[in-house]
Amino acid sequence: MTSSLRSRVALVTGSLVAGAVVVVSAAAVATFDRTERDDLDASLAQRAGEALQLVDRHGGPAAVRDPLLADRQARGVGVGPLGRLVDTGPELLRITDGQHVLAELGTDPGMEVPRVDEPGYTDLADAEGRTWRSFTMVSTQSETAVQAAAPLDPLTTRVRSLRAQAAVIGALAVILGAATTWWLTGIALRPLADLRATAERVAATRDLSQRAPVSSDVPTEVAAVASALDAMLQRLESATTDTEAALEAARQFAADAGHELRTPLTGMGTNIDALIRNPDLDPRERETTLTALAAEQQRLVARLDALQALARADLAASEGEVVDLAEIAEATAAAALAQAPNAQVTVTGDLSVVVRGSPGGLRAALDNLVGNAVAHGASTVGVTVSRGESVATLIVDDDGPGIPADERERVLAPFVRGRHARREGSGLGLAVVAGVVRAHNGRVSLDDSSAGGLRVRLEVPCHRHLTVDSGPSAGPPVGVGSGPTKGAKHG
Amino acid sequence: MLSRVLVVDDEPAIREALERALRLEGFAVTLAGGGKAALAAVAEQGPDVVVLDLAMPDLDGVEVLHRLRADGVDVPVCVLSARDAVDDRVAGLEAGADDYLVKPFALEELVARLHALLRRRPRPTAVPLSAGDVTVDPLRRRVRRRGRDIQLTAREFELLEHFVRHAGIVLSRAQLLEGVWGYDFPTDGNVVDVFVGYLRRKLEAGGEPRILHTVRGAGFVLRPEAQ
Repeated sequence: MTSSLRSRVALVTGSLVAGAVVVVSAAAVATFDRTERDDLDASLAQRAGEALQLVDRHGGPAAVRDPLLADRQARGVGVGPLGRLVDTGPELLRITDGQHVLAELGTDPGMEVPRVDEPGYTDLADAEGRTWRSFTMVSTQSETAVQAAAPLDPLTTRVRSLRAQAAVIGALAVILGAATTWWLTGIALRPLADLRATAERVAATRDLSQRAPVSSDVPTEVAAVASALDAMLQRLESATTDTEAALEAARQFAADAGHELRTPLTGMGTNIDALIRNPDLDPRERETTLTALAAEQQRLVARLDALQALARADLAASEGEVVDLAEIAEATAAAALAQAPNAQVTVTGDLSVVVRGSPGGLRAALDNLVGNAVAHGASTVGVTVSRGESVATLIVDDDGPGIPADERERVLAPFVRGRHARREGSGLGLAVVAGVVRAHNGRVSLDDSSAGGLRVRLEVPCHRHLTVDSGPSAGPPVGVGSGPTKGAKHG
Repeated sequence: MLSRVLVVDDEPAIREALERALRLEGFAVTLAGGGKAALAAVAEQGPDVVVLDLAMPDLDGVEVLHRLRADGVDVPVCVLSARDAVDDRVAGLEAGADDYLVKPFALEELVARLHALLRRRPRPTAVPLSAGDVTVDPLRRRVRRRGRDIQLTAREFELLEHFVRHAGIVLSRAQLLEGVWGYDFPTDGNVVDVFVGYLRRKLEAGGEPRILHTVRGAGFVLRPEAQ
């Protein structure tokens, strides 16, 4: 069975109050009862004592037999030896010789006569069944005993009434205690209800930007839960945002890549279909079609290469090999010259600029930059490598058409081509460069070149003490790594 | 006389390939490398049919269609979409294109569609037709439903007219492609579904009940309500 914390607390409080009320009122009633009985006993003893004194002073029971006494007694006038005892109310005062009642004050309810040889307190029942409290005193001078008695009814009635009052007050206390607890617990738990409402809203709306309300009067326990909930929502939200952003980027990339591949495939398909549907095509037309087909196929391959280079770019730097940028520049220039013999590609600057990173990635980046320059019609391309305090710099200048200033930021994104870019370009070249540099914790900036075209500046962090000879494990003490110096080029 | 096709695409390689292929298929082909050039070419040359790429940097295909149709030019247009996304085709067809193909496509398919788009359909009768609460006036190209005027593109109008002429008869996608588009070759009937969707939207825009029903496994039917 599940029940609310609130009702449990109220129930427990009610039970505790009830227990306390029972104990306290039982003790109070018992004390009251005891005191009342003691008082009654004391007054009976006093009365009996006074009556016995009178009897003894007046000469024993004989004096008590005086008819006058009975007469006065019958008339209810308190005169004579026992006169001052007359006005006794419901009490009974009897003088006996141990067997017969010699005289009595008050109405005899028909109780047995107490025996002289059994003095002291006793409880007696009268003819009507009521209980009386009785005290008997025996005279030392005569065979006379005095009995003082009073009914216990008033006392038991008072005790019963007290008990009833205690029960009523106790019940009220229990109800009041439980209700107050219920109310206070509700107030104390309201922040928890707010938290629950927040959690339910998040669940219902899937809106992770919701936060738990925390006001200053919220108990610290609840505030701790709220801030834990908030922290969890925060984490979830940022994780979800990251995932969504990555997914969106991947989705966009896939769509763009698909678009980029559909275009050459469409041209190829049309050309293939034309060849199939026209078996008797004249040789010149046939040749043109096949040349176009081959060009489209090459374009497709180039785009696949670029896509894969881009995919690798982000992973590249994790390889963390020792790379000499000057060597890479030299190799790139040689390769570019082999492909475009009319272009002039020169390398200047420091003879050795060593960084830690991916040789393949950096080579791909530089290949793209030099290749771009040549493809866009630059006749001279200048590559400058230099090393600063903590940054290695690679600058590629060309005398081509350049990129307008307002497009320079944009063209670093995948599939974005400048307004004046070649249509055959994949739109991925600069994205690959940006990806590689990002993976190396570096920076790319595009600028006007003094040669008249575009200047691309790559900056990659480096360490001055790092040299080609320090091998791939420049960090740990020399001599620990005894394996082959992977990736390090000597000479 | 050769049918004149205007091919509009911003990719030179695709333009050249289509020029050669369509020329070899017996079309007189002219080319335009962008949206603005396409509008100029339509105005100057009045081609019989247009093959229009949707994604172009200067003026995209949808905008070209809007301008053509707004000027009252009802030359048949087949749009080429480079993305296999429904949005692109929908945008093109909604703007008044008659059909679409997703790149890359089979040349045979393009040629068959162009022939169908070029085929002269008999002029409709001048008598207004009606089915249920829909009235179609072929001469004035007006459609009314329950007193409400409904604006339709040329192709939407022809499809609705076909449905009204054959009210109560279930028409398969192939029958609709042949009757409305003139396609007598097997092709995917998706264009029918897209246009039926447009017609429903426009016919029910005033809260009217559905009159064009899908018959699962069979096709579509215009069912005038029992009155």
